[in-house]
Amino acid sequence: MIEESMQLGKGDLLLNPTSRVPVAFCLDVSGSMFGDPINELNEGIRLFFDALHSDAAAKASVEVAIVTFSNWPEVKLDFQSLDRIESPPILTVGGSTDLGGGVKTALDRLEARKNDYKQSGVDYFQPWLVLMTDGQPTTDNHRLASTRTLELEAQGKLVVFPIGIGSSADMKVLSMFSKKRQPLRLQGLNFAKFFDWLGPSVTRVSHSRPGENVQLDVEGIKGWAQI
Amino acid sequence: MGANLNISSQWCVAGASVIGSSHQKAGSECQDTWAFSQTAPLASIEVVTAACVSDGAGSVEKALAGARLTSFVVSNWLCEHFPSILKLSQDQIRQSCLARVRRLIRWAAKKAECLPNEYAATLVAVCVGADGAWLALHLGDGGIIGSFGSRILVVSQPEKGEFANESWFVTSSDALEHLRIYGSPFNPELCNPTGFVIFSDGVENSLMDRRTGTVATAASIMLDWLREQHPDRVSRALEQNINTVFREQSFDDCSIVLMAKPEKSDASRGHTSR
Repeated sequence: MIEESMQLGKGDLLLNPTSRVPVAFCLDVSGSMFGDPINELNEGIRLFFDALHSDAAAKASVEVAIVTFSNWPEVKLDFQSLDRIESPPILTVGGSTDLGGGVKTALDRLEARKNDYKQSGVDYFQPWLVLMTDGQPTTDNHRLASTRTLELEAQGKLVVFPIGIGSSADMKVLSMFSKKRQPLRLQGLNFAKFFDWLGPSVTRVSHSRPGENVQLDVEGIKGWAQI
Repeated sequence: MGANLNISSQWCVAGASVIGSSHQKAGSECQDTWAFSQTAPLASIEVVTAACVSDGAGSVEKALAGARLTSFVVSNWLCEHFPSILKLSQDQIRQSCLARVRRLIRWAAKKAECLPNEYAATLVAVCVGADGAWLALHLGDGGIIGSFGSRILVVSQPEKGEFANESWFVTSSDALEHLRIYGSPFNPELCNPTGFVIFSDGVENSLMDRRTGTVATAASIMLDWLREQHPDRVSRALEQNINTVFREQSFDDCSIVLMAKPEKSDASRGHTSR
């Protein structure tokens, strides 16, 4: 036992912020998501937040933004620390599928958040973009958005998860958003299982150390999706 | 390591490495380590003291072995060849240091039948002579705080890539360009060193503010312990403080090494063991 004279107090240390993992969800809330799909999606998001809250490192590191798209994109939840979010927003549906607008808005928010980190001297991990849609885009601005996404991915500056919901999801369009990761189609409405997989995956990144390339649980994907 | 060395100008060293909660939770080992070396106090030779902290890369198989090899080789090389290293240019020091570390890593990798990259590790080292000459080498994250006369300041900041899990290691192809060298031949404004704190990335956010260069009061408090107490006792206190205070603010492995010039001669002080 060391005597009290060699015991530091918290006030003797500086308190710098922990490294952040920004995760942007870009979610289709067009009219076709009405009913069970949107209910399951809301439940999945709630489970995802619960999973992050239950891990101290993830809670201190992961920041989530939720961008929805229907007739137009909308930032439903902007980046902030999980501590400040009591419960995620409940998403509602209606309208068309401005997928490109949604992705552009999500990428803009990720870029802005990275600038916030840089200006504040906060370290951060590669941002994640989770794109989910159940149909086809009703505008053609997704081409421009996919080019921007692919550029960031190629530079190693973005991790992209394109996810198709149900049998009507246009997997060809989704495949335009990542060359490193094939789009996955949810089996049925397996949102809960997807978010159950995503939570620990993000958590692993928040625990990672310099030089570490986090390996995602590819086997685990089989439980909720097909490639 | 010599015991009960009665040399008033001989620097003392204390240190500790403690596993982070992330590694503990994952059931893996602490990938930080530290080593120090000190020349025998012969009348004809100036006493030289060197210490090195190294942090094995998270993604490689031989992370701890890489950190051990790096800290051992660098502290011994600095200590044994200090007068001649001081005469080298910064480029020559970089080349000489990395060549030695890599040679041993290649040998170890061959023996273990794996690639040298599996031994990726950072390097944070300081070497001091009794006459106030000093050198510091830093590759990757972690940091060095120095006490010069009445000033205490950040000597070397962590160097990271854009993302938090990007850094440079002794095995990186561009390590030569990123190994930073400081010292009395290159930084004459930093004279009369009286103490150094060298540390891994697990404690860098607790000991320094990278934006402002502010040093936590803990640095000078810990150096004072080493000036007043036996190094073994201070090492135990460091371990305890990492467990009780530093780990509250970090999930990563934590290493702190203190080097201090005693204020007065004291035959009861000196190193007994690591």
